[in-house]
Amino acid sequence: MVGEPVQRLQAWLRAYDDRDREAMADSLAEDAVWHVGGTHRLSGDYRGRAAILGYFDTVRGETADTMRLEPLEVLANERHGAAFLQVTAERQGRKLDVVVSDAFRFDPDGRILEFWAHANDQAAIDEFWA
Amino acid sequence: MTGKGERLRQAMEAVTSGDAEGFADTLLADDVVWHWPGRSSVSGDYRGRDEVIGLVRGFHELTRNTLRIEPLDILEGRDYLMSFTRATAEHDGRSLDVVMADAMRFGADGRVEEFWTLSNDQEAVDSFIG
Repeated sequence: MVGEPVQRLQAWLRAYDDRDREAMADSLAEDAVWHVGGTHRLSGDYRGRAAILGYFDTVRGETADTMRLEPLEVLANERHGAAFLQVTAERQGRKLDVVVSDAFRFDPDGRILEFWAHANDQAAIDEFWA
Repeated sequence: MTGKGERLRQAMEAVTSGDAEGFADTLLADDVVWHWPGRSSVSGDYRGRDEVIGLVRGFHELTRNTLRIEPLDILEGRDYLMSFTRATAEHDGRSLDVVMADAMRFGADGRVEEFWTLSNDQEAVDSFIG
Protein backbone atom coordinates (compact mmCIF):
# COMPACT_ATOMS: atom_id res chain seq x y z
CA MET A 1 0.00 0.00 0.00
CA VAL A 2 1.25 3.46 -0.82
CA GLY A 3 -0.06 6.94 -0.17
CA GLU A 4 -0.88 9.07 2.82
CA PRO A 5 -3.00 7.55 5.59
CA VAL A 6 -6.07 9.64 4.75
CA GLN A 7 -5.79 8.65 1.09
CA ARG A 8 -5.65 4.98 2.08
CA LEU A 9 -8.83 5.32 4.05
CA GLN A 10 -10.49 7.21 1.20
CA ALA A 11 -9.35 4.41 -1.14
CA TRP A 12 -11.21 1.91 1.07
CA LEU A 13 -14.40 3.99 0.96
CA ARG A 14 -14.06 4.48 -2.79
CA ALA A 15 -13.54 0.74 -3.30
CA TYR A 16 -16.78 0.11 -1.41
CA ASP A 17 -18.58 2.73 -3.49
CA ASP A 18 -17.19 1.29 -6.74
CA ARG A 19 -18.15 -2.26 -5.67
CA ASP A 20 -14.53 -3.14 -6.34
CA ARG A 21 -13.96 -6.30 -4.29
CA GLU A 22 -10.34 -6.55 -5.36
CA ALA A 23 -9.56 -3.03 -4.17
CA MET A 24 -11.50 -3.66 -0.96
CA ALA A 25 -9.46 -6.81 -0.33
CA ASP A 26 -6.27 -4.89 -1.04
CA SER A 27 -7.15 -2.35 1.68
CA LEU A 28 -7.53 -5.10 4.27
CA ALA A 29 -4.85 -7.02 6.13
CA GLU A 30 -5.31 -10.77 5.62
CA ASP A 31 -6.22 -11.26 9.27
CA ALA A 32 -8.30 -8.08 9.58
CA VAL A 33 -11.15 -8.03 12.11
CA TRP A 34 -14.38 -6.07 11.58
CA HIS A 35 -16.48 -5.50 14.70
CA VAL A 36 -20.09 -4.78 13.78
CA GLY A 37 -21.94 -3.20 16.69
CA GLY A 38 -25.52 -3.57 17.76
CA THR A 39 -27.77 -6.51 18.47
CA HIS A 40 -29.04 -7.33 14.98
CA ARG A 41 -28.57 -10.30 12.67
CA LEU A 42 -25.27 -9.03 11.26
CA SER A 43 -23.78 -7.90 14.59
CA GLY A 44 -20.60 -9.58 15.68
CA ASP A 45 -16.99 -10.02 14.65
CA TYR A 46 -15.87 -10.87 11.11
CA ARG A 47 -12.34 -12.26 10.91
CA GLY A 48 -10.24 -12.30 7.76
CA ARG A 49 -10.66 -10.78 4.31
CA ALA A 50 -13.10 -13.39 3.05
CA ALA A 51 -15.44 -13.04 6.02
CA ILE A 52 -15.36 -9.22 5.84
CA LEU A 53 -16.05 -9.16 2.09
CA GLY A 54 -18.80 -11.69 2.70
CA TYR A 55 -20.35 -9.30 5.22
CA PHE A 56 -20.42 -6.51 2.64
CA ASP A 57 -21.86 -8.92 0.04
CA THR A 58 -24.66 -9.72 2.48
CA VAL A 59 -25.31 -6.02 3.08
CA ARG A 60 -25.50 -5.36 -0.66
CA GLY A 61 -27.77 -8.34 -1.19
CA GLU A 62 -30.12 -7.52 1.68
CA THR A 63 -30.42 -3.85 0.73
CA ALA A 64 -30.65 -4.37 -3.06
CA ASP A 65 -27.37 -2.43 -3.25
CA THR A 66 -28.97 0.74 -1.86
CA MET A 67 -26.50 1.35 0.97
CA ARG A 68 -24.56 4.58 0.45
CA LEU A 69 -21.73 5.89 2.59
CA GLU A 70 -21.28 9.65 2.36
CA PRO A 71 -18.12 10.73 4.17
CA LEU A 72 -18.61 13.68 6.54
CA GLU A 73 -15.03 13.61 7.78
CA VAL A 74 -12.16 11.18 7.23
CA LEU A 75 -9.16 11.36 9.58
CA ALA A 76 -6.06 9.19 9.73
CA ASN A 77 -2.47 8.90 10.79
CA GLU A 78 -0.03 6.00 10.41
CA ARG A 79 -1.61 4.00 13.23
CA HIS A 80 -5.30 4.85 13.33
CA GLY A 81 -8.10 6.21 11.22
CA ALA A 82 -11.65 7.47 11.63
CA ALA A 83 -14.48 7.86 9.16
CA PHE A 84 -17.71 9.68 10.01
CA LEU A 85 -20.31 8.68 7.47
CA GLN A 86 -23.88 9.53 6.62
CA VAL A 87 -25.25 6.08 5.88
CA THR A 88 -28.46 5.60 3.96
CA ALA A 89 -30.07 2.35 2.81
CA GLU A 90 -33.38 0.71 2.11
CA ARG A 91 -34.49 -2.80 2.91
CA GLN A 92 -37.94 -4.38 2.70
CA GLY A 93 -39.63 -0.98 2.67
CA ARG A 94 -37.62 0.29 5.65
CA LYS A 95 -35.33 3.27 5.35
CA LEU A 96 -32.12 3.90 7.21
CA ASP A 97 -30.50 7.33 7.58
CA VAL A 98 -27.91 7.52 10.35
CA VAL A 99 -24.45 8.86 11.11
CA VAL A 100 -21.97 6.06 11.65
CA SER A 101 -18.51 6.41 13.19
CA ASP A 102 -15.94 3.92 11.98
CA ALA A 103 -12.65 3.52 13.84
CA PHE A 104 -9.69 1.88 12.09
CA ARG A 105 -6.37 0.45 13.20
CA PHE A 106 -3.71 -0.02 10.51
CA ASP A 107 -0.89 -2.53 10.24
CA PRO A 108 2.68 -1.36 9.46
CA ASP A 109 1.93 -1.66 5.71
CA GLY A 110 -1.03 0.69 6.01
CA ARG A 111 -3.66 -2.02 5.59
CA ILE A 112 -6.75 -2.10 7.80
CA LEU A 113 -6.11 -4.49 10.67
CA GLU A 114 -9.14 -3.82 12.80
CA PHE A 115 -12.22 -1.67 12.56
CA TRP A 116 -15.25 -0.88 14.62
CA ALA A 117 -18.53 0.73 13.70
CA HIS A 118 -21.13 2.40 15.84
CA ALA A 119 -24.11 4.54 14.97
CA ASN A 120 -25.69 7.62 16.51
CA ASP A 121 -28.96 5.73 16.48
CA GLN A 122 -28.16 2.09 17.10
CA ALA A 123 -31.81 1.27 17.73
CA ALA A 124 -32.64 2.44 14.19
CA ILE A 125 -29.96 0.13 12.79
CA ASP A 126 -31.06 -2.84 14.88
CA GLU A 127 -34.63 -2.26 13.70
CA PHE A 128 -33.52 -1.87 10.08
CA TRP A 129 -31.87 -5.32 10.15
CA ALA A 130 -34.55 -7.00 12.30
CA MET B 1 -10.23 28.03 24.15
CA THR B 2 -7.62 25.27 23.93
CA GLY B 3 -7.75 22.69 21.16
CA LYS B 4 -10.23 19.82 21.20
CA GLY B 5 -7.55 17.16 21.61
CA GLU B 6 -5.88 18.94 24.53
CA ARG B 7 -9.18 19.37 26.37
CA LEU B 8 -9.97 15.72 25.78
CA ARG B 9 -6.67 14.75 27.41
CA GLN B 10 -7.55 16.92 30.41
CA ALA B 11 -11.01 15.34 30.55
CA MET B 12 -9.52 11.83 30.49
CA GLU B 13 -7.22 12.76 33.35
CA ALA B 14 -10.28 13.91 35.28
CA VAL B 15 -11.94 10.51 34.69
CA THR B 16 -8.84 8.65 35.83
CA SER B 17 -8.62 10.79 38.97
CA GLY B 18 -12.25 10.05 39.80
CA ASP B 19 -13.57 13.51 38.93
CA ALA B 20 -16.75 12.95 36.89
CA GLU B 21 -17.81 16.60 37.17
CA GLY B 22 -14.41 17.78 36.00
CA PHE B 23 -14.75 15.51 33.00
CA ALA B 24 -18.10 17.07 32.10
CA ASP B 25 -16.99 20.66 32.79
CA THR B 26 -13.89 20.30 30.63
CA LEU B 27 -15.49 18.72 27.61
CA LEU B 28 -19.24 18.36 27.38
CA ALA B 29 -22.12 20.54 26.20
CA ASP B 30 -25.00 20.70 28.67
CA ASP B 31 -27.26 18.78 26.26
CA VAL B 32 -24.70 16.14 25.30
CA VAL B 33 -25.90 12.70 24.21
CA TRP B 34 -23.69 9.73 25.01
CA HIS B 35 -24.33 6.44 23.20
CA TRP B 36 -23.14 3.45 25.20
CA PRO B 37 -23.20 0.24 23.13
CA GLY B 38 -23.57 -3.43 23.91
CA ARG B 39 -25.95 -5.46 26.03
CA SER B 40 -24.90 -4.67 29.58
CA SER B 41 -26.91 -3.03 32.35
CA VAL B 42 -25.62 0.41 31.29
CA SER B 43 -26.15 0.10 27.50
CA GLY B 44 -28.26 2.84 26.00
CA ASP B 45 -28.32 6.61 25.53
CA TYR B 46 -27.49 9.16 28.20
CA ARG B 47 -28.93 12.63 27.65
CA GLY B 48 -27.60 15.75 29.28
CA ARG B 49 -24.63 16.52 31.47
CA ASP B 50 -26.15 15.08 34.65
CA GLU B 51 -26.95 11.69 33.15
CA VAL B 52 -23.42 11.41 31.77
CA ILE B 53 -21.92 12.36 35.14
CA GLY B 54 -24.09 9.66 36.69
CA LEU B 55 -22.78 7.09 34.22
CA VAL B 56 -19.14 7.99 34.91
CA ARG B 57 -19.73 7.96 38.67
CA GLY B 58 -21.31 4.53 38.29
CA PHE B 59 -18.12 3.27 36.63
CA HIS B 60 -16.01 4.71 39.44
CA GLU B 61 -18.20 3.01 42.05
CA LEU B 62 -18.29 -0.31 40.17
CA THR B 63 -14.52 -0.39 39.75
CA ARG B 64 -13.69 1.20 43.12
CA ASN B 65 -11.71 3.86 41.27
CA THR B 66 -9.49 1.37 39.45
CA LEU B 67 -10.64 2.66 36.04
CA ARG B 68 -7.67 3.98 34.06
CA ILE B 69 -7.92 5.66 30.66
CA GLU B 70 -4.61 5.79 28.80
CA PRO B 71 -4.63 7.84 25.59
CA LEU B 72 -3.10 6.01 22.61
CA ASP B 73 -4.00 8.36 19.77
CA ILE B 74 -6.26 11.29 19.02
CA LEU B 75 -7.47 12.15 15.49
CA GLU B 76 -8.85 15.67 15.47
CA GLY B 77 -11.04 16.92 12.63
CA ARG B 78 -13.23 19.96 12.03
CA ASP B 79 -16.49 18.77 13.60
CA TYR B 80 -15.48 15.28 14.69
CA LEU B 81 -12.77 13.66 16.73
CA MET B 82 -11.83 10.03 17.33
CA SER B 83 -9.76 9.04 20.32
CA PHE B 84 -8.16 5.65 20.85
CA THR B 85 -7.54 4.71 24.46
CA ARG B 86 -6.59 1.70 26.48
CA ALA B 87 -9.06 1.21 29.31
CA THR B 88 -8.23 -0.98 32.28
CA ALA B 89 -10.27 -1.61 35.42
CA GLU B 90 -11.02 -4.25 38.03
CA HIS B 91 -13.95 -5.26 40.18
CA ASP B 92 -14.81 -8.34 42.19
CA GLY B 93 -11.90 -10.33 40.76
CA ARG B 94 -12.74 -9.45 37.16
CA SER B 95 -10.33 -7.39 35.11
CA LEU B 96 -10.88 -5.38 31.97
CA ASP B 97 -8.25 -4.47 29.40
CA VAL B 98 -9.63 -3.22 26.09
CA VAL B 99 -8.99 -0.65 23.40
CA MET B 100 -11.77 1.91 23.22
CA ALA B 101 -12.42 4.12 20.22
CA ASP B 102 -14.48 7.10 21.30
CA ALA B 103 -16.09 9.21 18.59
CA MET B 104 -17.17 12.76 19.36
CA ARG B 105 -19.08 15.44 17.50
CA PHE B 106 -18.33 19.00 18.59
CA GLY B 107 -20.73 21.91 18.51
CA ALA B 108 -19.93 25.43 17.36
CA ASP B 109 -18.79 26.39 20.87
CA GLY B 110 -16.19 23.62 20.88
CA ARG B 111 -18.01 21.33 23.30
CA VAL B 112 -18.97 17.71 22.70
CA GLU B 113 -22.63 17.38 21.73
CA GLU B 114 -22.58 13.71 20.84
CA PHE B 115 -20.33 10.96 22.10
CA TRP B 116 -20.18 7.35 20.91
CA THR B 117 -18.14 4.74 22.75
CA LEU B 118 -16.82 1.82 20.72
CA SER B 119 -14.83 -1.08 22.11
CA ASN B 120 -12.80 -3.60 20.16
CA ASP B 121 -14.20 -6.30 22.46
CA GLN B 122 -17.73 -5.34 23.42
CA GLU B 123 -18.45 -8.77 24.94
CA ALA B 124 -15.57 -8.30 27.37
CA VAL B 125 -16.94 -4.87 28.32
CA ASP B 126 -20.49 -6.23 28.71
CA SER B 127 -19.46 -9.14 30.89
CA PHE B 128 -17.20 -6.92 32.97
CA ILE B 129 -20.00 -4.44 33.68
CA GLY B 130 -22.61 -7.15 34.03
